[in-house]
Amino acid sequence: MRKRKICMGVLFLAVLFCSRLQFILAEEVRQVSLEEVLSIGNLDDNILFQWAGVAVDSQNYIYVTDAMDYCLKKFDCQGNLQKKIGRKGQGPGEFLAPRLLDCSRAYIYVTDQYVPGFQVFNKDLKFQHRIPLRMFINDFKVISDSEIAVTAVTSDQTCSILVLNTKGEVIRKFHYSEKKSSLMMNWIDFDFDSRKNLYIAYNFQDKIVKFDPQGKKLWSHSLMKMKHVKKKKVGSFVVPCEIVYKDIAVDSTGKVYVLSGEFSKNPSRDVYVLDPEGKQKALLTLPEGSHCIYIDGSDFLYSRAGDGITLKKYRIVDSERQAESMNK
Amino acid sequence: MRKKCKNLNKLLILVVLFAVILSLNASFVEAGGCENAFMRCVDDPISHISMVGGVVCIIGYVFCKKYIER
Repeated sequence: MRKRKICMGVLFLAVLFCSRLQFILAEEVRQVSLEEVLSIGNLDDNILFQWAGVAVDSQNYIYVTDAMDYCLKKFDCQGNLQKKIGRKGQGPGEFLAPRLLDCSRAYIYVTDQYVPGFQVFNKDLKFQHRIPLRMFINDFKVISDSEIAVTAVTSDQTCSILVLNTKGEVIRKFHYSEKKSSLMMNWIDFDFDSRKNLYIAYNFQDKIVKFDPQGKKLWSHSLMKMKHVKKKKVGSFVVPCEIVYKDIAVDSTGKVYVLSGEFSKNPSRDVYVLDPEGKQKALLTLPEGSHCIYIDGSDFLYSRAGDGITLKKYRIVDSERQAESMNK
Repeated sequence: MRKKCKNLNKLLILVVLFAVILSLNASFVEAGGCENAFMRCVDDPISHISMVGGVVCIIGYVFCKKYIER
């Protein structure tokens, strides 16, 4: 009888502890909301047809590649179209499938899915020159007017980020993984914080990694708690068919934003917010699925809506943080 | 009465199984869009001729995975 009472007591305490733990965990991961501040393009206005990449310069001009319009577009901070350049083709200022873009202080760099290398434009969208490369680019970030970091498709499946000069010559190489892996498994998206720390999100592995500027691995985290993605034989290739993370971006305070793939509760909409140490601090959910996220210098978040005919700009509202600052 | 009940149960199980099979099939078709596009790209004679064909197909596949599939 006494034993039973003790057992019941222990059980009660265990249940209490678990529920408290759950409460604490729920408190740690806050739900952050988004406040829409700008929407560019809709079904009626033919401004955007299928935008693919976005970048914002220091004067808050928004640059967008439009895959179905074969061009590069420039908008002011109110969302008014300032200029557009491009048409279908392979000549200077022409595109077959414009994709990624990023800007330095003076230039806009644009990739094309079918043409290796970059096309470089000035801020008035005048074609400047081409940076010829032999490799196709998966992702890139402009470090400065003279350096661009890229990940490229290589035949030997090595996992490296190359730093190129403006002529396209490799001036530094950084191996983010020593392991050679099967096709596409080492594909990543990446971003740098203001201290040049490197953050990597694997597209087909449950892995987010941070490296310091010297290349030392600081941490590696899995947010989805999964081991492997499914693979499928397509012709003579075996390809991964489930995407884990779609994009990664870092804001000015060092917070890391990771856009989920298929494995989160809201696929392509959940954005995990990590602190610089890699601890998950918040979760925000985009109203519509997106292929990418972009955070500008003022920490506004940009994502896709309307299947690519709309670009949305959001203010990230962390109500708890706002309340804290009000109290101070 | 008992026989009727048994038949009803069997019918119910069949309906549930059918629904499960249908939903599985639907998700398979939905998930195969980019794989099918990749296969068509790889089988395209132009891809075979050009040295970079396979690479372009791979880049297109990942873009499709990010852009189209949710």
